Amino acid sequence: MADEADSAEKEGIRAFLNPEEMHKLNRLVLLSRYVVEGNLAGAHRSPLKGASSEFADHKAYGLGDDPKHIDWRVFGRTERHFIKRYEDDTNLRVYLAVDRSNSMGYGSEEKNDTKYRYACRLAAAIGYVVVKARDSLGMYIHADEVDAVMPARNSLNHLNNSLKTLQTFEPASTTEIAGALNQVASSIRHRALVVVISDMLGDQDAINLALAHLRKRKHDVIVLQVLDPYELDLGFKKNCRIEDLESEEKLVIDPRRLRASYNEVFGEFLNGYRQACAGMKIDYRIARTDEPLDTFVRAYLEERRRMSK
Amino acid sequence: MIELLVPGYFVVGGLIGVVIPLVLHLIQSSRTVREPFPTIRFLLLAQKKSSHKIKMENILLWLIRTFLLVALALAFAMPMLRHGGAAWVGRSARDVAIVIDGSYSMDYKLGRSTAWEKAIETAIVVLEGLSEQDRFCIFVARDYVDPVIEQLSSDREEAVTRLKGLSFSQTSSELATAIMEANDSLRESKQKREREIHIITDNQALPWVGIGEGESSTNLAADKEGEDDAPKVAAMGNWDVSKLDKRTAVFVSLLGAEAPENIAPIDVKLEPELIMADMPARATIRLGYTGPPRSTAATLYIDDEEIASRSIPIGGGEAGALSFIVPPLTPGRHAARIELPDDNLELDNIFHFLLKAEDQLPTLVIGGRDDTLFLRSALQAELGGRASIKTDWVEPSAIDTGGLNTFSSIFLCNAIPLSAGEIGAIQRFVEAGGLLVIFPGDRASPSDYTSLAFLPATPAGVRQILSSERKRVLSWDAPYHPILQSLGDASAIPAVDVGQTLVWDTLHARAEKLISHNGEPMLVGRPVGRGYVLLFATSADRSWSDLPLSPYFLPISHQVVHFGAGVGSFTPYVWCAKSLPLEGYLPEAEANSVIRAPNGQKVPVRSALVEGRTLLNVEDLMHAGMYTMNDGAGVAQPALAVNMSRDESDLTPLNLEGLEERIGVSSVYVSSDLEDLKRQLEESRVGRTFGEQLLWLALILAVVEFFYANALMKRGPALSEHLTIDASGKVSA
Repeated sequence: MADEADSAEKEGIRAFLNPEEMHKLNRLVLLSRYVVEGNLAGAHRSPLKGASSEFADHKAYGLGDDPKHIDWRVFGRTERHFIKRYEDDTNLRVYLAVDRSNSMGYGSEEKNDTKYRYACRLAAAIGYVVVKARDSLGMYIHADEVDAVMPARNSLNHLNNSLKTLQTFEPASTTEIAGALNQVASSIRHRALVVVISDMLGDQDAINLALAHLRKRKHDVIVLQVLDPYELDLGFKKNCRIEDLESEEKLVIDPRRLRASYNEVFGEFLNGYRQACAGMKIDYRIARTDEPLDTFVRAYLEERRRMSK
Repeated sequence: MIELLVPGYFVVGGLIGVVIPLVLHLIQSSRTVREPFPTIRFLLLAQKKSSHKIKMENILLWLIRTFLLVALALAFAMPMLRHGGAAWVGRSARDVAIVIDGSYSMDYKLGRSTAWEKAIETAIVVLEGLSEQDRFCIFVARDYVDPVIEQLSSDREEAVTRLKGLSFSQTSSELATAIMEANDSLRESKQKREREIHIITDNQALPWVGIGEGESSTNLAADKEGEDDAPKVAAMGNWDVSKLDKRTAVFVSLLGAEAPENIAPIDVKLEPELIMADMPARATIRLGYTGPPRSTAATLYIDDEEIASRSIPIGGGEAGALSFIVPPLTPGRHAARIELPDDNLELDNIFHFLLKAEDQLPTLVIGGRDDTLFLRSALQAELGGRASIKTDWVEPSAIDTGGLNTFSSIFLCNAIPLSAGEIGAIQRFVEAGGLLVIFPGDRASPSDYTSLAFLPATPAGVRQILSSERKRVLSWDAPYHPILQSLGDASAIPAVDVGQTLVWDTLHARAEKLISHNGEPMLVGRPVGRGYVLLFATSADRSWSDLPLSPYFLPISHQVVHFGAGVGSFTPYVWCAKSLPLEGYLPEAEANSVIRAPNGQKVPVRSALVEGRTLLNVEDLMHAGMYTMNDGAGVAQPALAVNMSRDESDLTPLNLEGLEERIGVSSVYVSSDLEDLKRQLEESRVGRTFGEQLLWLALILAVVEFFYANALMKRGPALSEHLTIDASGKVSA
């Protein structure tokens, strides 16, 4: 609670990450598994041919092509003009879609963050890694629709401002994120890496369609489903009257007797995302709020780096 | 039917307790904590999926808890289950008959007390367990039925006083008869009450002989001849199972030892039966035993002096026999006893008997002077330097019928015909154990013999023998008969010259030929009562044959007298009895004779006039020991050796198998101690509590509830464990 009180006074990245955590994140990079279209030269493959040293292919010389790129050796063999093209490296544009629906406001135990705060800290950590890698970071804050949009830029100031904006929002509204995600998909014109940070408790089919929409727009998509341990394991010990944070419905349950069935139902729900994401080649991860943020981010990014090689 | 021991409000409390699980369940359901949750849609789905299962589990759990409390409530309510009985609700009035085995086997020691003391204690416990409205009667089964309280009564104090004053008999017990009489007493009450018969006895099988063994048993009189062959069974009286009310509860208290051990002398035999003064004899003691084989010692006392002591192993299921040499005795009666070491049943360790040593055998010869001359001469002859026979002679006209019982043998020599009174006196003499020897003569015609019903054969006439046939060689048809035993080795051919003989067509069924010639009897004999009758075919003088002159006449005459003195004229012991005719056992007793019991008290001697003669009976010979009678000089002499019947010494345990069928009622409770009996009484009168069983059921239900509830509450594997989410958030499953 003291940390939370401190963080309430702080602004920007310092509100979500302490120096130690930032230090641990310093050397990490977030790589895209697919080509991306950046606006600057960077460490990521671009769909465009550029000036890197890595040969890409030959192209018949056409009007407007710079003659200096003509491959004379090919001309010598074929007496036709071809220009030699090289791979283009560009920077990565990462968009974070942070869910601020009411369900994200849930935190079962005081020692753990609420899902929303954990999502914010996750956004801060990823943003920090992205900006440190000279990639651009944009942000969408949404509930059932997009509430705020921060364009992709690669400055620490921009990250700070984005996180300050994020700080101004509280969980509200329902978890109908499919519409918001569709809005996000429509609004990003170039290939980018979209990180969805949400509890994904909305309509699963609609959300899956929205994710498909993102993939259709050739974005590399990462889904980070933020869940509280009580959500996963129904950790209540005594009979309780459950009140839905979004619909305000009430239900009396005996958690010990209900656990097996709940595990089955909720397990099927999570499995639905897992299979759908696997089908769409979306990186799907579950982030537990009781897990240290830096550990999770570090483990995830390391694994992603290995996968991207 | 079921009734409860505890007050009703306990039961009401228990029933209220039954609803506790339901109330707790409802309270528990309503006591919930408010918890926000991101979405309840998964919980709704889960609840929908498992609601039926949870409901069933809840019902099952509630049922287990309810049954648990029901079982506990019932257990503390002490429900009692009754079998049968006239009353279905509560305890009803009852009539109780108590039958106590009063045989001397009840004196068997069981630690510090005896079976009898335990029986009295048990009877008192039965009485004390009765309520004011209950009635009872008490019978003691002795060799007769002793009605302590014959009519149904409610006076328990009086009954207890009488019970404490009872003692067992030194006899067997008529258990069956006592039970039937007790049942008759119960049946006299026409009121509809529950009935109980309590049979309190030791563990002995003997009293039960005849009970429920098919036909009604009749009194089995002790047969003197059968005693040697098999152990006697108790006289059981009439057992009629049809008289028993099938609903009567019969409680059998078997208070004796489970494996009793006992050794007792059961019989004594003297050889020879006639003991002459200054002559040694042999006493053979037969020992009966119950229990495992072992050895014992026996000591012979004569006139309270220890004569000899011997040990003998006993086993193999057979009675042991032990012989003692009886030293030469002075003439007269001598008190003798066999003593065994003390065991758990001390009463039968001593066996009393009399040794009667004769100096001279009193013999009466009746006949004319000439008719008896040879016989008297023969009887008065001294053998071995002493005259062993004291002979009196009277003419047939001077017979003193009142004094015949002082003789051991009577010879009739041509003395027939006799008057009816004389014949009757002689017949009584024989039946009481005397020996009658008849020599025919010319005075009697064949028809005169017909009035003598006790003859071995009825003569048909007198046959004259031709001179050529007079020489007759005699043959001993029964060479081992005591009369002829000493003549069996005679080297000379026994031949006599016979001029005329009695002839007869047929012998009596029990008659035996002792001497004959070519199958024609010369001497026949027949047992009559306890005595014997000998009939010669020729006279005692020379007119019919020269038998009196033959070398065999003298030894035969002496042997006859010795035989006569030993035939039934003396009984070494008698069994305890309420009455005993003295004529056969103590012929010298008179109406004014004083007979004293072993404790010095006089026993009554009653006289009765039967068919014109006075018969003496001594009464109340119920205590074992040596009874005395004063002789002419006023000195107490051993008169009767009285022993307890040894039937009860056979302590073979009762086989309980099929006892219910034998008794013939539906409710038979067999107990071996007081605690058992109390429990059975409670079970029968109040019912059997199954509170303990209910407590066990409650315990089982509690265990089931514990495990079942824990199994329901057990946390299954968490979803995160099932999904195996790694540190990078990757879901493996």
